[in-house]
Amino acid sequence: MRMRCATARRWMMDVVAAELPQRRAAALRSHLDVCPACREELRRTEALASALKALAAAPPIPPRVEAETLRRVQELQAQTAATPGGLRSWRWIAVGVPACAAAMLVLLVARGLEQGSVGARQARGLPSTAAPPTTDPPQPRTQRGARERPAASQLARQERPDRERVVAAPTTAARGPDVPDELLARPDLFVDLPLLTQMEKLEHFEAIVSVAPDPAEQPNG
Amino acid sequence: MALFMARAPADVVERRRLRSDDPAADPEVALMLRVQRGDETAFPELFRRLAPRVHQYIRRLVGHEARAEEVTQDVFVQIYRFRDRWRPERRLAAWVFTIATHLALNELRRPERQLRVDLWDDRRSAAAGGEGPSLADSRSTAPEERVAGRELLVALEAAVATLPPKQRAALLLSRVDGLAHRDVAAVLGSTEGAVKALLFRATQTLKDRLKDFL
Repeated sequence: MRMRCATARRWMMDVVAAELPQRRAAALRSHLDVCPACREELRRTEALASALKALAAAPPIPPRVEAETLRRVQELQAQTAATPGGLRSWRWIAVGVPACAAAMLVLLVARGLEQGSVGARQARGLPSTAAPPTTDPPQPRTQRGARERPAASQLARQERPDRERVVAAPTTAARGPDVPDELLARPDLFVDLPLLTQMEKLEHFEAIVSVAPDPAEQPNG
Repeated sequence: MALFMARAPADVVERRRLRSDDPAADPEVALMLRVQRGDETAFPELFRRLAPRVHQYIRRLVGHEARAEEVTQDVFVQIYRFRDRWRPERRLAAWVFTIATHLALNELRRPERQLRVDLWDDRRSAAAGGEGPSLADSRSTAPEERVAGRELLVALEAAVATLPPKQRAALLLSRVDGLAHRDVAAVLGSTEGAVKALLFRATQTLKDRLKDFL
């Protein structure tokens, strides 16, 4: 494939600096064999490269620059010697301060996330995961097959460690004046339906109780 | 064509040797290691070895002799202050020129800086007999060739001074100070491809401006 002159000219400075890979150098050589314009361009590139190399010869540094630089460095050396621990103490500060700041930032973010989580749950009417639940899971059957029914006050005081949504017994402050005791005694039979009124919940309670057999009335075995 | 020799030219071989940063091969690296170990006699020697190249590079970037001297001092004070940050696996020249480039470009960005190319100060030229800055031309031998070569170099210096700062820095680091493309990229905080693009644009500009000499 024939090389374009634009490509050849891009590679010319690299070949002058001996930084062009062998394959590309061979391709460039083949192009130069047939392109007199690029040969002339390469000649000019060589001349420029030679002139640039001549700029590398650096005159000696003015003595005042050397003297002033070394004086400033000696001041630094004296400061280092005078400071306990020298520059090493600065190194600890340079490492310790950012580390403490990063640790504080992580704590603040974690705290903020926790508070945000609590706030979001409260906004949705869900009990906080950090707050202890006020009900207990259904108690296991006793030896006689009867399920013990803890009192409502006991349910309110008991805690539940798991994070699932729990059915909370209505507290004294939350319930209306006409919440029957049967509702308070069996919160596990109800889901949290804020649209239902207390009386509707009582109707549902009676319906569920009428269907579910009372284990206390069943014969053993 | 000489460019396509099987072996690289001797000066390229020398530059590559110095790029290795092997203490046994590079006395400047050995001096830097002594500075890190607390040898107070090593830093002045390191300064004398590096300062001429660094000062010349800064002078061409900044374009003002007095400010270049101040920046050169700042560079070497920074080299001493942060001497423990250099690691032998990093090329010493690239590290030094990184500091120099940052300080020089900061100097260029200062609003109170007067943009004046001070390379051909008339008073200094008159005091020196009107010969201008000393620029070596190793190729020519005949007097008329030396004059022509000097005119090219004078024009080249002036043309380099008009390049945008990043192109100028890339050109000087690569073509004058002999850093490899990857080292120039490290100094400029760029990529090798971007460095090659900077070099291409810089050389095209110089070839256009110096077409009467080339």
